[in-house]
Amino acid sequence: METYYSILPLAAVLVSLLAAGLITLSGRRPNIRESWTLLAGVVKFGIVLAMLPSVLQGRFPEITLFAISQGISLVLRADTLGIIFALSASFLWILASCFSIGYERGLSDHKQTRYFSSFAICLSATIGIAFSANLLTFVIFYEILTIATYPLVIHKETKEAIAAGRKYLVYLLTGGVALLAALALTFHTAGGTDFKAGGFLTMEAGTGMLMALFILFLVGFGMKAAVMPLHSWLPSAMAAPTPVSALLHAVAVVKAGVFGFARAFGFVMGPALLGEIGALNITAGLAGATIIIASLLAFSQDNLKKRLAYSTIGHLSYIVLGVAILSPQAWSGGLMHIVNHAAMKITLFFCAGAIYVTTHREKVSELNGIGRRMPFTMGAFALAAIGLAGIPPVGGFVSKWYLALGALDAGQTVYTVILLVSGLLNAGYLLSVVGRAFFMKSDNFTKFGEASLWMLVPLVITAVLSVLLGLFPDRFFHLYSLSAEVARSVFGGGL
Amino acid sequence: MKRNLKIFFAASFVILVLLDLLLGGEAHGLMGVHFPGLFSLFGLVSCLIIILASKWLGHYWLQRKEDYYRGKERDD
Amino acid sequence: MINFPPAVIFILGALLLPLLPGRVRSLAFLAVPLLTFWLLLQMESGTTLTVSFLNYDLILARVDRLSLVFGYVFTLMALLGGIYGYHLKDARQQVASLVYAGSALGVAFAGDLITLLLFWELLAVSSVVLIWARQTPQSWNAAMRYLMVHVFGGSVLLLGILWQYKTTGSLLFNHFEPGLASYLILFGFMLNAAVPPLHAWLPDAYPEGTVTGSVFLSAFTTKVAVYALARSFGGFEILVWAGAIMALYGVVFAVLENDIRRLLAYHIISQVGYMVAAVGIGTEMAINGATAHAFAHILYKGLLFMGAGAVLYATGKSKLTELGGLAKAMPLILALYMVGAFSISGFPLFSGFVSKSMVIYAADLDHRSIIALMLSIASVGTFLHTGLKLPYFTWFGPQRDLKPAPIPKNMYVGMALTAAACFAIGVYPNLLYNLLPFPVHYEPYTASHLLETSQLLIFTGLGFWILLKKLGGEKTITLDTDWFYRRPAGLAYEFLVARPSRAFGAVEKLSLRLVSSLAQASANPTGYLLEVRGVLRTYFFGSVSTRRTREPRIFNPHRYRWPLGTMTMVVLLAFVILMLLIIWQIISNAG
Repeated sequence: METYYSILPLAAVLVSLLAAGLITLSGRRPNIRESWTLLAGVVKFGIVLAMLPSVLQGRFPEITLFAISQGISLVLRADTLGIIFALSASFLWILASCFSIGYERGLSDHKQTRYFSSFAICLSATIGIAFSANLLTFVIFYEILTIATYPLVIHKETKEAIAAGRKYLVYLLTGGVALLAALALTFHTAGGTDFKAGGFLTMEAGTGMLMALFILFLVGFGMKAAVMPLHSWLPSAMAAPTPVSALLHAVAVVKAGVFGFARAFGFVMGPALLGEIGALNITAGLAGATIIIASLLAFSQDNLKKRLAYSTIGHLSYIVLGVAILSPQAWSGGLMHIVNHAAMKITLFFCAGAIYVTTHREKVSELNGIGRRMPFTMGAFALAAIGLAGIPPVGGFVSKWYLALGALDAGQTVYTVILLVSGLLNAGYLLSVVGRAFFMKSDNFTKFGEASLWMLVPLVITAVLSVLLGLFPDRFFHLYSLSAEVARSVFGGGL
Repeated sequence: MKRNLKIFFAASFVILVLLDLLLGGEAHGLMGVHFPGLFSLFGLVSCLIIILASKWLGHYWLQRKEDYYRGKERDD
Repeated sequence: MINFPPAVIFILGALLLPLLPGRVRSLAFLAVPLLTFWLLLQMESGTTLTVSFLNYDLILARVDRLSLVFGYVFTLMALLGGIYGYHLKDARQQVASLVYAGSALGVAFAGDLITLLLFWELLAVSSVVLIWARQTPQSWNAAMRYLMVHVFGGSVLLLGILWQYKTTGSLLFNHFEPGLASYLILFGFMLNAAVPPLHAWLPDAYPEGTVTGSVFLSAFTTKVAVYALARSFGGFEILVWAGAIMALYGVVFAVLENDIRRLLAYHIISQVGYMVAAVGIGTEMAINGATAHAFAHILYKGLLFMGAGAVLYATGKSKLTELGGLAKAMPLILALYMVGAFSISGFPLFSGFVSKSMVIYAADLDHRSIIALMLSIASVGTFLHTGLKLPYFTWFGPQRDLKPAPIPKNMYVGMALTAAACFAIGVYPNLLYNLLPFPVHYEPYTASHLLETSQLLIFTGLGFWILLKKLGGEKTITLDTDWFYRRPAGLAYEFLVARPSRAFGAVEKLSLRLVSSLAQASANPTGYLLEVRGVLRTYFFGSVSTRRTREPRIFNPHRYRWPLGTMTMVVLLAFVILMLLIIWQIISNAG
């Protein structure tokens, strides 16, 4: 690992923080306020993109913020794993911001300034998580993310939203406590918390300590990653406005959780070590159960966003499964799914939001025949749904292929079967919505048309992106090469 | 109409058997067996068996009322 | 030489189609197969087109005689179907039909398993649209079942492909050796080929398709599977028996059918049985037979569905118990339908005569008399239903006072052209034989064959006439293997979805309440504890006392709050102690 000093990782984090301030100041001029968001999004993405070439060459930009003492420092580093997450989050933020503008204005929503500035802070925290070079920095940004998302969860300020927000905090902050404990234990065991490909803990620490650490990480990250039984906050959090659910609960917050798993399993403890203490099997088992149960529960949800929430829970466990199987292919698949799922799921949430703004419908059973009036929206929905079911040529197939292959390689065929069953279930609960929208007769929607362009364009872009990720997985930000490289470094170092 | 059909069947049987005798020298037949008029018999018998056997199968086992599945399926 | 996957032309066409105005669309639809024909004529046997995808090599166009012959017939059927459906205004169906036909071509020319899988899944996804588009509640349910079954089949296929890759490292789509991987892939292929017991989706879904959609449905999915079987499972013994049983199975179930399109669907199963058995036999003559029969079948089955579709279009009905007496009103449709019926029954001068018998002959050559016998019996049944029963009860039989609507001219044209093709192949078999993968050493027009066929057909007619009264439709449905997943569907939903959902919902409510209690407790610990004390008191000691000194109904938390200063002091103190501990740790670690 070769690093060099660069201010870019810090810049990437600070851009939106600065924007948050500017947004708060321009509260009275909505157009200027929104342009700060968009500008910050583009600049942030640009900065992250600028770091991509050197990361691809194996040279990681790094900057130390504070060094308190030996082993305790705040360091930002853009490495292969981090840049995957950062690229997807920052790119999708731009689209989510456009969508938010359409959504908020379409609903003439209240407290828009609080909304946009909180969003910006969340993205700062997300990039901070992505570029954390050690566990301490990671945990700090992780907690900031939890707190920064709270105003967005309770945005509607209804009883339901506030209850959901309370539940959200309790769950996630509890996870945070577990992480703090894990942090302290790690530091105590290893004297430092710097991420190292393949893990920096060894069997010297003793199985008991390692098991304790594993459980703490499992709880800490499992909360955000919605691994059952710690998942319950996610469906409740659907009380948030749809763009919040779209970006934060499909791309940022939950992906921070699975990202945490990747860091813990690949850069703190190492797959071989975890395999030895039996932790991989536990994690894989929980992930597998989550995948199936979540997919089954999704069928019973008539509320579209709740259905998507359970779908998200299932797919997050795809990624957790990927890092819990002793195979580089599975890792590749899991990491690619971080991006593939983000693109597909955000499309679905965008569609749900567009439908809500235009027709105020939230339930699947009310969507009969809507495809006639909103063909682009439902067309995008169909594409994303096909992808989540793992059907080629949409991106979900590629990650599923590698995950399944990895499971086979590691001799854990049961997970391959679980993935295939999940694909079948996904097809059932998502494509039935498409069928309803396009092929059930109804006169309910004759006075509606497509949502505004601010909402329509982003969702078409993400749908097309999902297909492109399936046809040309490596053309876009070298997703495949990056994932394979992470897998290689994690296994090369550990095994 | 009925009489005409009877005549038609009888006549064609006779003609075909004759032709079979004359021309059907190296015919492969069924399961090694061949005699003039084999396929006429085969056609008739198989037809009757198919109809009767299938109807029996249907009436004693497989046929149900048209709305058999209604109420047992979910409209999702 | 141009080597371009023909599937791409269809898919690009499908993407462009919705952008065109209504009138131009049907025309553009026809342009696609015509363009593809031209492309097929340019393609050279033995060439391939490879692209790289991640770290795999995808062979998008593998051209040889087997793929070309299927390529031709798929393209031809797309054209004929497009003419038949020229009057359609529904862009969804037109786009789906193009993607469907294109995916069939994609499989036919696929050289590796990933490409195969891609187009295989697209087949399922595009064809379900043709069922959904009927827009009745029945067809909606049938479409969902169809989709689920095919995604399931695709999943098993994917598992097989993954296993194949893992065990052999190869993704080439060629002949497979027996093994777990190939059996999984075989399962996937057999499902699409509608081999019992994996067949129930076909009679379930095909009658629920649209008038024009079912024509496409009947042509592609199963024949694509036949191609796939011929390519990679030639000579697998199990297929011989599966095929022969299939041939009889379809015929038996067809006797019991009331819906004319479902009857034809069961006959698809029967005819595909011939092809599957022939693939199993595996000799050159047999593969030729399977291919020839597939070619002929696509055309005449399309024609039969066109005819039945026309009846459905004109009368809105498709049940034998509701049809009858249409001969006066729809004579031309009857005539064109009968061309299809003669073809499927193997009448001399029509296409079935030169293709079906090749299969039976191949069975004979391979010393498989029982198989030949079974296939011959199935022939009897085929003529019985398709050539006698269906047309009799639809066009003749009891008068039902139906007033059929006029049928668009293009449907006549489509049917006529297809009929002409069936006739042409029957009269001049070399048209077809020259396309077959292996050199043909078979002469269909021999005296003995003609005699045999005539006897068979005429005396089947006698049997029909004798039992005519028993053959009318009955207002019933027939249970098939789909019973296994339809009957328990409600139960499965209850136990796998509804109950866990209620359980999880209860847990969620509980967690919400716990969280809310936690919030109350942490906001005002003393007050909360007092309230708990009050509740416990009421539980254990009963609420006898009604004294006013009990907690007021409106709970006033401020009475029990600790002063702000005290709380602040406590928190600060705790924080300072914690900080001191941490700093002490750091110092002792560093020192």
